[in-house]
Amino acid sequence: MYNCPNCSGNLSFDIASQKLMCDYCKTQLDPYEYEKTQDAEENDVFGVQVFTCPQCGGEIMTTNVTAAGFCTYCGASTILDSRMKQEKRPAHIIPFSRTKEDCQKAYASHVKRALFAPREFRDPEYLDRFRGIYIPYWVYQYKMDGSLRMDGTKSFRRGDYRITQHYRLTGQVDADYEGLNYDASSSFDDTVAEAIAPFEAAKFQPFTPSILCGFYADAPDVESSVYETDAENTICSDALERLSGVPEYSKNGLDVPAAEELRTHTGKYGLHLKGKEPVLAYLPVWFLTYRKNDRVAYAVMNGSTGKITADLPVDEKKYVLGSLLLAIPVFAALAFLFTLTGQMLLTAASVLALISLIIYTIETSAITDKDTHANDKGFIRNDDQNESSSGNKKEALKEAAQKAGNGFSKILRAAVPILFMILIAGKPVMDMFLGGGRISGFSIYAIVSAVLLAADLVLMNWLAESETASRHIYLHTAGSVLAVTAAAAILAWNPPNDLWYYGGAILAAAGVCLTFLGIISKYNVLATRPLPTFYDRKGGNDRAK
Amino acid sequence: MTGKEEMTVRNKKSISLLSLIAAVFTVVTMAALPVRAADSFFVYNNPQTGYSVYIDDDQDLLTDDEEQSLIEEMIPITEYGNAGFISCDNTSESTASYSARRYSSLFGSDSGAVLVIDMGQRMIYIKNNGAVSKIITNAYSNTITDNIYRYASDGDYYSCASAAFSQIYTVLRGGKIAQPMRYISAALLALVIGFLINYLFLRAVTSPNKAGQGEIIDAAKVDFILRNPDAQYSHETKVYDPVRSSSGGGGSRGGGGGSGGSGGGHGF
Repeated sequence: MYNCPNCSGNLSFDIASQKLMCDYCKTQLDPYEYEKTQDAEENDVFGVQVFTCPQCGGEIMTTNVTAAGFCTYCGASTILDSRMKQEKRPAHIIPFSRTKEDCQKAYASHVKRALFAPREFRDPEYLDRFRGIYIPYWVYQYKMDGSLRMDGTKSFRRGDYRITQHYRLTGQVDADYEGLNYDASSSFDDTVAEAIAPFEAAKFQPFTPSILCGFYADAPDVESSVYETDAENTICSDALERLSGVPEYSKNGLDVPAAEELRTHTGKYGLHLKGKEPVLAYLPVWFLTYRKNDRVAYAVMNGSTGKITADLPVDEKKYVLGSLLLAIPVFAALAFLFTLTGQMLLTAASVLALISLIIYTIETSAITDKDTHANDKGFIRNDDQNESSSGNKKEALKEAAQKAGNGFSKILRAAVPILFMILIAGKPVMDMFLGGGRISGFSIYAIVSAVLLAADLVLMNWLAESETASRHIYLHTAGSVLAVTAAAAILAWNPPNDLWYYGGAILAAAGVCLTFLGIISKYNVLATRPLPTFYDRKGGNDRAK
Repeated sequence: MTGKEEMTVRNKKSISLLSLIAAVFTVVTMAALPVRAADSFFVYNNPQTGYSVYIDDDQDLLTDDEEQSLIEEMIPITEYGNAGFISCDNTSESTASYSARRYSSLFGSDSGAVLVIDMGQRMIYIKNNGAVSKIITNAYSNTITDNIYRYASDGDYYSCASAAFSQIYTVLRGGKIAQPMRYISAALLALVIGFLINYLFLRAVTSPNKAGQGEIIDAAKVDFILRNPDAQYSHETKVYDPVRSSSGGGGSRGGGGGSGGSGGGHGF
């Protein structure tokens, strides 16, 4: 579509020169000048070729005809369906200023810190799969003005009285906020967008389609209203911070309301917050997809600032080896500094087992959030909008709910740890009553650990909502649960023979190691994402795992 | 003088000499060997150091012969400090605080080591103080009681006490005692801590660096103007709130026995 005027070769946007360059004769052209010669009229739309992944339904667009060899979002190497389409013309664009080589270097440096990353993450061939994509962003513009009315209070003591002096703080506010941007693509996860933010408004240029040459673009599919509240809260928060720094206000004790309060009651403070119609901008992102079985990992770099984020799974063998190596200096320090009795050792091992279970629970909760896109507003809103159009989804959710278990089975599972807690705690409590109120620290720990374990198990049971989160949960946690249970029972029973304590500690150590391997397994799930599914697009698999 | 008379005189001299020798030997022996005084459990006092051996076997865990043997084994410890053996049936307080209290009443703040076998709580405890506690630390006390508790469990209290004082003396002399569980414990914990630290490191280096609000605002175009900022005094409110006098701080609760030192124990 965009050909060289000299040789008709393909034109691509050259990052170094910020010009269009012919792939064959290397002729350089100004993108805006080229646009004028191609299309004298300003249109609201521009023509693109849309590639659709038959596996996940993800769509990427391009202005030149080079076929995409793999799907950017799910990593599937497949022949993508393509069609021509007229896409709404965005207002702004920031051209790529970081080259692919910059991106590869930044990524290699980033991965260097991740000692346990799988070897293939450093493979040059793998790094070559970085792809430049323009992601659609909503750009918000707001004006805040009016006669500010806020209160200030100063308190001090005079004799037996506490005196409070009240002030009325006033001023004329006239503020403009431009260029706050939030991603307008449901396929671009908010957590990724937040990690590579911000894009500088000063670098916005008027959009011209020729700048897309050589790159891909994602289609906007999230309503601009989705992030309005976020933009307004950010503005209110910034305004309050600026007002707090004004000497006339700070020395008279400005009562700073919450940003949310100012946003919802601007009139109360004499202010008006008006937003202009948000406009679209295409912003540059280098994107790398790593697919393993039913999960994908992304490495994403801001094509303008170079800020990078990457999902980095862990090679379990490397992790175990690293842990064993780390254990050597820890052993030397412990053997030199401490002598633990059997009870102390068992207590310490039990505490570590409890910590491992709590970490496991946190990971499980985070996986549920990630799998359900709980922190991705764009996805959720888009998902809600398309819910009615997807009959499969309701069935799938029903199926997921059945897998997660109904209310009765949840209560039953919660009752078991509570019953266990009562049984364990009963012994020291009885000892305390029979022993005239005396109870040892180890017995107190036995009760506390039993309570914490029961609480953690109940919490884990409720948080492991998604199937991925609950997978292998019993296998991973059984060792530590058994270890904490045994430790609580042994400490409550308090047998004189040390073999009980050392046996319990060995069990706890084995349980903790098993749980940490489970945590790493969960971490790997967390460091990757479920295969993307785009319900409103062709070919989406609703419950891909 | 007849030969018979000469022999009688010679015998008398010999008997006198032997008696004298016997008397001197008895005096010397009396001074050197432990003698149980009728009104005290202090059975030996080291004339060089002034430290004593104390035995109060209230629960009759040792036979007389065993007591004598134990005294012999406790005497070398008096080179460094007092040595005590106490058996009791304490149910009113913890063995640790009982031991600290008994130590304090017996030896004050002097250096020494006391082994307590508390039949009431089925607990053996070693309480040390002064110079001895600098060497027989809590760790050593725990190790020694770990090493000897099985004797007490089997009812062999003499072996238990004998091994305790033997190991205390070994450590005081600068020798080594077996501490197998110390290394096993350290190895077990090191393994688990290794997994934990490694995971925390992993999280620290891989957590995404989310952009803060300041960064987002800095990247936007912001033109914030505030004209005529002013603060007008409005009114004043008063609340009667008399200042409370801060006299006294309440009494401090009595300490739980212990004048420092070190100690460690084990159930049996």
